[in-house]
Amino acid sequence: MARLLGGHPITTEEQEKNDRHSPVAAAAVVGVLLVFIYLFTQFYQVVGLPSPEALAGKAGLNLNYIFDADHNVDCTLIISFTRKYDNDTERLIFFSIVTLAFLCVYFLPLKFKRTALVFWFLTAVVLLYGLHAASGLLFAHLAVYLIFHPTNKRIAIVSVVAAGLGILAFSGDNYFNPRTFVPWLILPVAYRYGLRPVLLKKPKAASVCRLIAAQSSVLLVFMGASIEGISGYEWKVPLGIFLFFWHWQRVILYHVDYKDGHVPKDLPVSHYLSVFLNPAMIPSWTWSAYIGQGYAYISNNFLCEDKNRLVMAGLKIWGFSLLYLVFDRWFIYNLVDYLEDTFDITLFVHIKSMVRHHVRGEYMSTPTVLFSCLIDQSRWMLLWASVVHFKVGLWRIFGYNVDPHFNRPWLATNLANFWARYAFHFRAFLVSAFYYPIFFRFFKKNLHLRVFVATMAAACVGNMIWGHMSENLFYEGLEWENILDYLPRWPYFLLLGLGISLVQVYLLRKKRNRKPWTWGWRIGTDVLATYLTIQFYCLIHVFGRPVPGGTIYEYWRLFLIGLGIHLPG
Amino acid sequence: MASIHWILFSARNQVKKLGGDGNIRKICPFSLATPKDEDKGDEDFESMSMDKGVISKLLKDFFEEEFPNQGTDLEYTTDLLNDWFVDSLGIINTVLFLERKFAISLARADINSDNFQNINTLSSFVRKSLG
Repeated sequence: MARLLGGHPITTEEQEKNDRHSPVAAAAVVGVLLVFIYLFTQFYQVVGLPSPEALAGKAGLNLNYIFDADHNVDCTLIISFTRKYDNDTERLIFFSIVTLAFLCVYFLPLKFKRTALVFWFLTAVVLLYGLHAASGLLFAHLAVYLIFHPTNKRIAIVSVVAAGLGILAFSGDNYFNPRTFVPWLILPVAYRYGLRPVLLKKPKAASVCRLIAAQSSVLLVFMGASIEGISGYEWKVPLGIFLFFWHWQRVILYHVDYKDGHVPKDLPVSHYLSVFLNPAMIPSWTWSAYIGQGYAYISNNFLCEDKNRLVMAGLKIWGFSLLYLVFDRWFIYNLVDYLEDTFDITLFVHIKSMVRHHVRGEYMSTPTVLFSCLIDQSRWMLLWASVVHFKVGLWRIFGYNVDPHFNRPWLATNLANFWARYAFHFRAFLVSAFYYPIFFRFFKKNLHLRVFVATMAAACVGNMIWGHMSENLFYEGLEWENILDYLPRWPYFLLLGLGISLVQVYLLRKKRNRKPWTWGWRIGTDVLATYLTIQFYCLIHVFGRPVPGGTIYEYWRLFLIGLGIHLPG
Repeated sequence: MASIHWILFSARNQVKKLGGDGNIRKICPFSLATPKDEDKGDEDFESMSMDKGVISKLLKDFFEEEFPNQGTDLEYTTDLLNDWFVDSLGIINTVLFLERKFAISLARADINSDNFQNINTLSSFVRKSLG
């Protein structure tokens, strides 16, 4: 929880005290990374080792659903948006760079550590995505930096570097065509004599500029989609800018920290970049890209405790990641086989498949709907947790005391607690960006309305528009159609928001006289509350997976079947 | 009662704007909110002349009543964020308590781990907010 509020600022002396080397811890990290390389890449062929599948066979473990055609483990930890190499090679490059980045951040003196992470991040992006993409990403971040930190002494150099990166990012291979690069040369001049004086002398205009910069990703995608809807012209976004778009929640929280006075005005550019450019961002780029958000959270939690403890905590969480990465599909598909054979019911591993069959007019029983929703969300939970645990573990191994994103949600006895346990960093984003601004500004005289509206703003509106709809545009492209396609999912956000809001309002008045999961006769109520919480959360996902030809009425009908109510089709 | 609170609270802010210390009892002898008021609800204007020790005691009572059975003895230096709060709703509950009990107004930036670290830091924050 301390880290939820940004943690305490930490001094350089404290960080140096926490920076004691342990060869055992360092060797353990390298050893575990070698296990990842062995399981998830084809490196075993290079060194002449038996494949993971062959090794499992020799050990008598004939496991289905685990190995792919090249006899290593099929893995959801991927390098998104690039096809320069095959998945296994990309993973090999990534794990190699992680190993080098770890050795640097572990052994280099304190003042070089975070810069080393930025360096290795950029190296990985250049190797995996290309120079244009790395330039675009860096250009976008420097543009944000120019707007937030105009007082920096070296800001003129930063603006020139940004212009150079802009040429690389946007010019394709025509660097030397004057038509291409001359307009970019105007950028440093325009900044020096146009924008910078405004940022320095007009606080209100500067505030608007910072807001636009912070919301630039969301504004651009909605604007792009709207223009496409009106004119039919679809924007093509350079890959580097597209990668920057996925930092939108982290940039928004940087802005929140800036407004709250947590960000030094003359922050060096390397410190700014170290907030965003970390190798832990790279694997499965789009999955929980908000982990490690804002300035205060990242800077206060770097080496805030003994680094070897952080490393061991990171390795522990990697253990769970490894378990989920290897066994997720094996567990789910064998569970489905077992349940179908034992209880003689039809189950769907994907809710979308169930919705499709329902829309076609096939009969769905209540147990089918309830269990399929549970199975689908368990499948998703294992997939998601495997990746986010890897990311959180990587942050920790690099010395950042980042909270687990996914923290035993099966212990949540109410929906508010479940959401916090299921998506810690996402909820923290919504709370900072939506809940607090509403809570501290409106309905101060009506307690229940105040909490209800603030929660709905975060869990329903913010979650739908800033959390998921913009993400859908990043995934599917800047087309108006992609906004329209997303709208039928509104009941999911409404029910989730209502559920969490009502729980919050209820808990405000309820006197708590025992901690959940305390041993005693009332533990049965904890089990029941947990089941109902999880089942409700899973069931509302029937609205989150619309299919062609489906109507809101059909989705509501399926939802009600889950509650035991069969309406006519 | 809420409207009285609002008038007094606004008056206190006015005094602050005019350079005063915001202690309404010093400038408003006709205040309806006397220490003997049994029916003054959560709006305890006596808080404005409270010292840090009294504030700490009120906070301790609140935490012990609101979040019981945490398996930890609550001291003035107990880490509230790591060892006492159940979840973020606990923070919201505390904000509501501070606003009602001490008639102070909080902003998002006040919700940080420096203020909410323990009862001592929280009571210092309250004392400072009271002026």
